[in-house]
Amino acid sequence: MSFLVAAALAVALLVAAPLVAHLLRRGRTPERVFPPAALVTRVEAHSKERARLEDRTLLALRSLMVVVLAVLGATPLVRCSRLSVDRPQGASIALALVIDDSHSMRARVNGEPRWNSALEGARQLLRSVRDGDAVAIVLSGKPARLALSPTTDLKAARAALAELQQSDRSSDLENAIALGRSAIENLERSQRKLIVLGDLAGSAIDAPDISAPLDGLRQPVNDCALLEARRQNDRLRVTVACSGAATGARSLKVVSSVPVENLLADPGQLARLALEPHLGSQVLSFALSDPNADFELELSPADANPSNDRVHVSPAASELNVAVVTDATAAGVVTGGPTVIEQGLLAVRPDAIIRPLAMLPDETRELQGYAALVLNDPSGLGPENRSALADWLDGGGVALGLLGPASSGLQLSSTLEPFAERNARWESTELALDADPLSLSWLGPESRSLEALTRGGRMRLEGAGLPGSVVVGAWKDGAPLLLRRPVGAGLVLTCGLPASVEQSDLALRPVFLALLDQLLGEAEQRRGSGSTWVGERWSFPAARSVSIQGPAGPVRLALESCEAEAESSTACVPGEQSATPELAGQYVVTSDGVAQTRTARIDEREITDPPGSVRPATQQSGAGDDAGSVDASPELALALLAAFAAELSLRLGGEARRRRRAERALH
Amino acid sequence: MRRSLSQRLDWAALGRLRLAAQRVADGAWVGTHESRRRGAGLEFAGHRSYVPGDDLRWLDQRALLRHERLLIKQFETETERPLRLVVDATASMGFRSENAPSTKLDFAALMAAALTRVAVRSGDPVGLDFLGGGEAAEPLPVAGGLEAFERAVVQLSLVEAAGHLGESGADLEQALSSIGRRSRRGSLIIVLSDLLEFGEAGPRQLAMLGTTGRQVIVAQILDPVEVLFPLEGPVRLKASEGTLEVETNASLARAGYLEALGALQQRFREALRAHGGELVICRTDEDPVHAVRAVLRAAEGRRA
Repeated sequence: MSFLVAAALAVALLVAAPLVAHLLRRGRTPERVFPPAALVTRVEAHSKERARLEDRTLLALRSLMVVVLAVLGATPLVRCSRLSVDRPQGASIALALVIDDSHSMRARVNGEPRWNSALEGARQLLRSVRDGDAVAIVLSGKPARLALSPTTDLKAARAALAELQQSDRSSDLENAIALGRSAIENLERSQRKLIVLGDLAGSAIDAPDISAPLDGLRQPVNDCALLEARRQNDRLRVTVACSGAATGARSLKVVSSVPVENLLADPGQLARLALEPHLGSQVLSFALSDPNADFELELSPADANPSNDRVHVSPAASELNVAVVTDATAAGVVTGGPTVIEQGLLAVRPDAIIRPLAMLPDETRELQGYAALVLNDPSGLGPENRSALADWLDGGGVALGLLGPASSGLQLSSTLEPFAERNARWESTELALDADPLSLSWLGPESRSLEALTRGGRMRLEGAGLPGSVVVGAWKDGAPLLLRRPVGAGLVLTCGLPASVEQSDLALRPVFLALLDQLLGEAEQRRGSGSTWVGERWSFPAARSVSIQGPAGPVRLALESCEAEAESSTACVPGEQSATPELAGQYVVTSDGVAQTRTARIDEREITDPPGSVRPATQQSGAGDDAGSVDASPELALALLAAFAAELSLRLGGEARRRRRAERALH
Repeated sequence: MRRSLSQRLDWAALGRLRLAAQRVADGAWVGTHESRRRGAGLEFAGHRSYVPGDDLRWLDQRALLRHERLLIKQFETETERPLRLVVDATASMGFRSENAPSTKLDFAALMAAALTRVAVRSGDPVGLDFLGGGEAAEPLPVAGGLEAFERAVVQLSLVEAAGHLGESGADLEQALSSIGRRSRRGSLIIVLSDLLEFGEAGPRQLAMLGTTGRQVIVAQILDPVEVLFPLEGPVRLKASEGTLEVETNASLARAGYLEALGALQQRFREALRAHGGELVICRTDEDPVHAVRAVLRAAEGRRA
């Protein structure tokens, strides 16, 4: 503290002056001339009355004024600790606020949810924004999305901020930063700032143009979560995840109106359980006495995030069955074991049940148990296969057709429907062709390594797409690589490369896993296990009557218009209905009168990933400082003015009251 | 060194007082004032019992023979009735509270000037005396005519509230004795005072002025604060003269004060009435016309 600050603050010692003045006034009884004083009897003033400080409100106001005056004298050397946008050049800026709305933001740090702190930080930053500045708001819950397009309307920005809701999504910080950066990169501003308000779980920010204030958000928290309670026949598998900072044994208890003896075969197992937390997840298994019972489990004692300490056990939970139809020799690997498709499916969804089929079933009922189907290099589909497949797809099935050389030599009665027209043909080439990464960017960062995909050739899909097909992936020469076609409640994906490692390098690339993950995600959305991540979109065919009841009430359905995605290569089906679960828990989806229970679950990484870090140089970049860089003079001056006004009105009011009282007494 | 009259006189104040006195007198005027004395005259006015010392020329011999009683014949005659105004100009009369229109002395001076005007218009001579008031408070001998009114107005405008009557009451007795000696038989004596410094003997001494055919009317002039005592909370009260200070809680002492004031007024009222006099209470915030009328009514025998 400098001498000037100390000297200014020393003025605050004068706060004693009003007190002394009031004390002196209290000690001196007011005098007045009164000729008939001899007729007045002496009445000793009551001791308490004499001791009472007169006009205590005035005294408090005057003391406050002295203190505020002292602090005002000390400003701008004395500053507020609040966030503000630093603008060294003084010109208008473009600001992108990336706010983390993932589940980990529900954790409480120092008694305050991280989400609330982040919102308050955003509000403070918006308060320091001036007219002419452009503001964009990006939410980093998966998938990252733009909550507010860049605008100079600060009122709209504040309104958008006020409408933000916390979710249980996973974190998608990397894409959120990319989205925020792209949102403001084309704005005509001398300075562009990107400020991240979140715990940065599992990330480290070292980009110089990014600031991540609010260190408090990145404090580790003691948190254990009940991620899932999945029923498997007569057993209950409970997944518990804990953060690295979790301490203290946890216990599980059943929350139900039914006695626990009627729910679990061995209730004592639950009572004896003392769960020692450690980083990561652990699966507990219990024998059920009533496989259809509906109840909840609760983890105790409560920790930094009580919202994830309870989970619903639903009888509707079931497995995700995936059928794989392939020639084991074509899609196998030299080391033996499952085919690359099966290995890929198990890699992306270990809990999925993969069933290799020798041939495509002829009847719909044989397909009814499956949520997804992967068909590798089929040599045509017969009429029975096509009929069964069409019915299954219409009911919500999701199929992936990996077309290869065998698919081009069709027999007379065979076609490639519902994947492609007959005119699809295999093009043998020795060239290593590249796919266009941009066209497949919707698959995520895995879509980057798409060079030299071909080995023996590729399927030419130009003009082979069935009605309703959309190209969602392409070769660099523009030829279609991946088609997407909704069929009823289901979906068909057609890929112009087979899984065989001899024909293509596709199965060995990360993009293949991303494609399978997308497939399983679509299957879960439509008719699969009913268990998806929070934030994953659920799609429903157009013109179907759909209603969804979630943990927080009805869920709003959106109607795809595709206008915003006209230039995107991702699929968009006009008129398709969709809904996105924002909260973890059970949802009842009623489609055309048929009810289905779905579960939206929290990503384990939201619990286990430690808070991220920020490179010190980045923290000091000045994009958003919280180190007390705000001059508090205007607020203090206003407070002083208000105190002056209050003091004046109190005095005038008191004088008027005294005058009125005297007049009343005189008349 | 005494200043000349023209130097001491506030001509504006004099003009205001004259005009105000004329207005008040006009408002209080209730018709031709008739001074009636019974005694020697032309028109028979009745009998009364003989008392030793009566002039034997008026003994009704026929009545003595008829009724065997000594009766004196009375005749009615119109005569002048001297008015002597006594204005209290002690320091306490200089008091004026925040909302009062004037000091008590100013109010008393206005009343005195108005009464002078009324008397002059009725053809009665007027004299003026002061209690306290310092060196400017010079008494005026009884005289009639407009000149008397002018002199009274000048004197009333000069006087200032000063001095006091002394704690022993000797000064008051001396002053009142002097006034009594100079007042003719049948005079009307009007005392304009707050009566706050008259002491225990004050009522008796004032009432004594009402002997030998004189009538004493006392107008107690008080400030509204003195009448109502509207003060609140702890307060230190200082008398206008002397060193008397009373520290009290006004809210708690109000009832006692009003009771004491009432008792004081009652003592004066009883003493005055015993000698044919009357006490009139006046407030400085009331219309002086009403105050003058009340005094005149009291002088004519109708109690205010």
